[in-house]
Amino acid sequence: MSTSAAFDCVARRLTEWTSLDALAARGTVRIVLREAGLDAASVAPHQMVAVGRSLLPEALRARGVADSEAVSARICDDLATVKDDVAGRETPERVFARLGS
Amino acid sequence: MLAGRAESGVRMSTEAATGVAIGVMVLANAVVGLSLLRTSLRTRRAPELLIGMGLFGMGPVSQGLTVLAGTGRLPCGEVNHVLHALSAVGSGVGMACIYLFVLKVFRPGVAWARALTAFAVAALLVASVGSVAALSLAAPDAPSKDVLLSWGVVILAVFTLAFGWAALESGSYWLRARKRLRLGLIDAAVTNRFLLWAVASASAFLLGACLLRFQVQGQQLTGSLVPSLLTMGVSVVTGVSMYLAFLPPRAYLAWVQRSTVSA
Repeated sequence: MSTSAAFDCVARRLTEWTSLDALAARGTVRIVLREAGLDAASVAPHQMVAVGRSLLPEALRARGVADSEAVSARICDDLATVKDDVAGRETPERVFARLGS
Repeated sequence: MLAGRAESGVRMSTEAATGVAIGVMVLANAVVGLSLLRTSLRTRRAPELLIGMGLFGMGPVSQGLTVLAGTGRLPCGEVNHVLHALSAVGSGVGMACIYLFVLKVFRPGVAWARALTAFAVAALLVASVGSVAALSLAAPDAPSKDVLLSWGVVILAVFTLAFGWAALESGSYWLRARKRLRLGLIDAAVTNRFLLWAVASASAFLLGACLLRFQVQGQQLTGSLVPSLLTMGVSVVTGVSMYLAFLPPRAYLAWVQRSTVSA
């Protein structure tokens, strides 16, 4: 299954800016996404920012990443430049939003 | 004589309960189905068209025409065969639309879900054609209920599976949506809609499973009080859940928003 640009961006930055390797970085992001009810294939940049602010710092701290708050904040800033490649995709959420209108 | 009167009273009340159950289901499917079809005209999207056709086809079209045709009540020679065939089309198309809705919304492009949908549509096609053919070929004095029993079991099994699947998909999505709600990533009303559709589907699944059990055992639903009341209760839950999900009154939406804020 392909992953969204927002997921790829966060996983890449974690390998560049922390001691986590690629596998650990991707696994960490997948875990926090699951905690947020999201998945790697369809997460949008604005959703990733919300996760980055609320859940990522604690997940990084638990994995021994120093200054996890600052790293998470930097990643959230970086996400502002990521193109939303899932914007036009039909999701259950969008369908159910229309069904009540 | 008293025992006979009591038995007759129970029979009357179970028939009334079954009538209420069918009436509630048909009414809810008609109102909600039409509303969703109207939405599909505005949005020109497939999911709303599929669920609208599904509910309308299975509700007023199928059930209404079944009553008018006399299927199940009359001997084969007295059943209106054209209306029975139209009812079978309504039921088959309606159920196929529910499968396609679940596939398209929750599992697009997933191989097992496509296979399940294809299998269900094929089973519906065979069972619908089979029931029309069986009615045409049967002796005129044969009870239509008995002639159509085996095809009815197949159709009921496909119905039960459709709503079991819908309930699982919508229910599991609701659990994920609740997590998103805590982060402010989804609307509270939309999250609640997943729950309501899961409840409506689970109730329809329960109803299908009860009816299936009765059909397989060859029992009369209208003769027993507990199953009749259960059927009525389940139908009311399904109808109310569908109504609140797809035609929510403003007061209900306000309550959902308030509950989310206070939680």
